[in-house]
Amino acid sequence: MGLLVNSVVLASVYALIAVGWVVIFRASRIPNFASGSIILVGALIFTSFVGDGSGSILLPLVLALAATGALAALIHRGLLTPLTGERLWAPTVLLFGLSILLGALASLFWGNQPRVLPQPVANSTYELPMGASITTYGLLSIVVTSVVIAGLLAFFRWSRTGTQMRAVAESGLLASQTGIRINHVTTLSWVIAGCTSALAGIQYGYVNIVGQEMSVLGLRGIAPALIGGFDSVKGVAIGSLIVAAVETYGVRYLGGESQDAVVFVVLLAFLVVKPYGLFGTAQIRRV
Amino acid sequence: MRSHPVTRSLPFALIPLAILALPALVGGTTLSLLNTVGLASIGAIGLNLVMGVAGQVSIGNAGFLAIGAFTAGLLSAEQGWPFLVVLPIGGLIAAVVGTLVGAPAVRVRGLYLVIATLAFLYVAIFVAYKVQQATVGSIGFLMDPPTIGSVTISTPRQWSYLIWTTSALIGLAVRALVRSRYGRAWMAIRDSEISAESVGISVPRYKLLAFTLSSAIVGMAGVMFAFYYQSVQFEAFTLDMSIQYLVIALIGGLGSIAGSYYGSLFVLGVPFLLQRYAADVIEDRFGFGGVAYVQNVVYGAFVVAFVLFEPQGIASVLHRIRRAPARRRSRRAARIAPATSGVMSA
Repeated sequence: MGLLVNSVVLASVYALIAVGWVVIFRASRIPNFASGSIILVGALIFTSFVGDGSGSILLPLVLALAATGALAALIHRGLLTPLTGERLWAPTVLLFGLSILLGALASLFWGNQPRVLPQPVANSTYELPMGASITTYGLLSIVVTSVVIAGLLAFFRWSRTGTQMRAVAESGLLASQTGIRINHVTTLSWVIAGCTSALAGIQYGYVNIVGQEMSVLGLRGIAPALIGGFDSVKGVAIGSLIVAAVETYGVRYLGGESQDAVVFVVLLAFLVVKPYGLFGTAQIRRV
Repeated sequence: MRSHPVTRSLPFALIPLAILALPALVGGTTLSLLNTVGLASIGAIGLNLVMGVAGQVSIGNAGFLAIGAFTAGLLSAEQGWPFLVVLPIGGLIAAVVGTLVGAPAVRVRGLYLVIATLAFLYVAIFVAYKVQQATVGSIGFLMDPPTIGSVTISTPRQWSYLIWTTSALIGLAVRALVRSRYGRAWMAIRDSEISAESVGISVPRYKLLAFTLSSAIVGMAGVMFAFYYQSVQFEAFTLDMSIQYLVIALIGGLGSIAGSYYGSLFVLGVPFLLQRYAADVIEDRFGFGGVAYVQNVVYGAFVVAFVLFEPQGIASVLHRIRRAPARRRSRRAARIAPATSGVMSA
């Protein structure tokens, strides 16, 4: 039972990362392999704005999200727009390279020491039934993620921009015919992904620490995104819960080294059985 | 403009000469750079076959290297099998695993293949960890220097001959393959799967063949790795290693066998030069340990710049430089007789 609670907390971080993958993939069919370094940079920017934690965390939070969103927009406009129409390897290799570049720049700028975030509220532990417990920050992480996912679902469902984004995801060509500016919509999706990634980094930072190890978190968003369907926001929630549970129980019963392996075995199984995930759109290819 | 057959085959006559001469001329760290470049080039040729020629992005390279290296560890360090026997076996086992991984993977396209190979990589690393734990523990396998006939390969110079001979043989074999009907089929698939299918090429079969051959080559590179570094540890095989091979294939020139060599030299040579000539300046500015970060900044920046500005890699840059005099001549000819310029430049 305690493991289950842990995996829900973990899922709340993964869901935000996976949403970033899904939102970008829907808009531009690009896998964001620089996701991990964006998470790291977002969290590090937040630590700089927070400082010793004497002030409110609201302003640093808004500034960190804005800065990371701007960075993501810059990546899309400056580096990926020129690659429009290129084969998959081009954005893949570029984003891996960018990830190395950003990670190294972060080390030069912020140093390599892990940082502990100052806690604005006391971190207490709440007892749950059946011997489980949850910390204040674990609980906050779940609440924040739920609100963000619900907000994004509402945004895509009801807002004008959200509808445009869905139209672009479905067919870029048809969407452009109705006057939707695809490039703007895609940049916006990068901004959203930048913000959710930074938020994921900050949540992870409060539950654990902020440090270089966070750059591996980016790839941990792939499995929940793919199991959920890679182009479905609501699939992400389910996908994250599955992946976090698999990972938590895998580490418990097979040891810490199995963390990535068990998740990717489940992922491979999904690729074989349900290649378009639980909620994904099947792509039909005609010859 | 077609050059004479003799002048065209001249570079190949120079290969054995270069393999003999270069290691004799350099020494010390330059020689070990030359060796690591040669080792990397073998794996890069393997990846280039599947990525540059057949157009399939794979990030499982480090996994196949691990398979080769662990085969060497289990058979040679544990059982005492000779190098020349272990080398093909490592390639064979990697080929079998590559076929098993590739069979479902070639049916999915694009991103799904990337993710399937990523998943394979993590599973391979975990299996390697388990194997290491069950046999030798955390120190890893300790390898004896390989023996070929009565010669024991132990000095860097001997290693250089072995590595570069192997690399040149594999490079020439792959080059011949790329120019055969197989190569043409792969390139057709790379350029358009649908048109390849419509002219009767079995897309999954050819993709799988490229994947299998590539895995075999990378597996053999893994065996060489194990013997060269004299130890096998699962920690050596990481996602970063796979990415490095992607980068080598790209910076050298996708689809170009010579490019695999240019790319290896560039990707390993630039950090080497930074370490050698700029380490003092960097440490003054960024403190101890700053060199590794600056190396990564430069590395990452080069990757981004190559994808954006020279996506065909160094091979295409060199090609342009070589062709520059001919282009100038044809431009001059075009000015004299504009009517034939289209024919001349075609």
